[in-house]
Amino acid sequence: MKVKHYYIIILLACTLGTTAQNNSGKHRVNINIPEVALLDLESNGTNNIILSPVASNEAGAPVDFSNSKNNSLWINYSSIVGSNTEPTRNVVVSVSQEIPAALNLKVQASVYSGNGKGNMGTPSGEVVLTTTPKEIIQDIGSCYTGNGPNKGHQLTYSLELKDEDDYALLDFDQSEPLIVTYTLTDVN
Amino acid sequence: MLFFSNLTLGQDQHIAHNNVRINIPEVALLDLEPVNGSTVILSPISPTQAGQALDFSTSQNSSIWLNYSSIVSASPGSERTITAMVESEIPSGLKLKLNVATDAGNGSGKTGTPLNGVILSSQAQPIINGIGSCYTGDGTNNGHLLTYIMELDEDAYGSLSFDMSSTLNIVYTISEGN
Repeated sequence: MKVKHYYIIILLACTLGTTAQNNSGKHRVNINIPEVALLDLESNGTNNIILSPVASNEAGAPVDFSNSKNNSLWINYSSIVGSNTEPTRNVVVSVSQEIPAALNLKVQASVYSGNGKGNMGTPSGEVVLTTTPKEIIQDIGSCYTGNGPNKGHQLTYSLELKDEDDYALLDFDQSEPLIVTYTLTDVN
Repeated sequence: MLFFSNLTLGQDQHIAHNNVRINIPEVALLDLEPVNGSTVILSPISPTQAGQALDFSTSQNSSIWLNYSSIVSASPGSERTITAMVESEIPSGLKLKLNVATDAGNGSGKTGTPLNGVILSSQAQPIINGIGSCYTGDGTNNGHLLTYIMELDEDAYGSLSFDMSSTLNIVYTISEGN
């Protein structure tokens, strides 16, 4: 009888021990934030733009570059950066071939405008386009500009005569399409 | 002598008694049951068009069931509570919200009342309360289905970072010994 009594006590102790060990549980949750780097050009019409000086109607007057401008294009981008490995990105711009000798083709990005969120980039100022990529927007963090025209950074192109003394270099055979390339890149 | 002995035995049977003590053990057991052994993965969907945001609208997961067994005392305030906490920090800019379904009803007794929309943190917070003596049944499709929802904090898009992808441990505890 005494033996049985001890047996019951031990059994209860085991039961209580099991209870204490299993009053909690845990499991894992994996959180994945994807890397994102997307860039696009948008306009209300075509993305092909034409820049042309105005020919004079009056003999003796020069061609007029003052209205050789275009601001129909917008840069949209989406970016998720890595705070440790890739904290900011830039947009660089280059042109596919040399600009006609007497001319400068310039482009400038406006400050951000639209309904996106996050850490938008800062315009780097006016860029004279060359075949070497140059920075046009800097310090882009994790953000999105919104998709479509009137969102992001508006681009203003201007075609200028480098110098009045270069007028002799103008050559109508140099009318040709150029391809301008924008790239969202990482700082490193 | 023999007759007397029998009489004595009869008297003993009449007054004999033994003590029957009924012990109801205290029970507080909790278990998490993943559907098909699945891992909970929460990830926003990457945009396909420049200018668009990460899409958090489907960053949800409902693949863990919470089972429990409870025996409480009859005294007031002895009902149990289940709390949840995250063992590490949630990445900056994100909220991890938990919705708890009502008990599936496959057990018996006084199962608990879920609290919805709890934003999980490193502090234990109640997610089910009012648990009396009950059991939910064991395994998936028994007890309470847990739904995790990952949301972006308002105006926190700039603090998102792909370096913050991480694994968190979520800990559930049923209270004992009230």
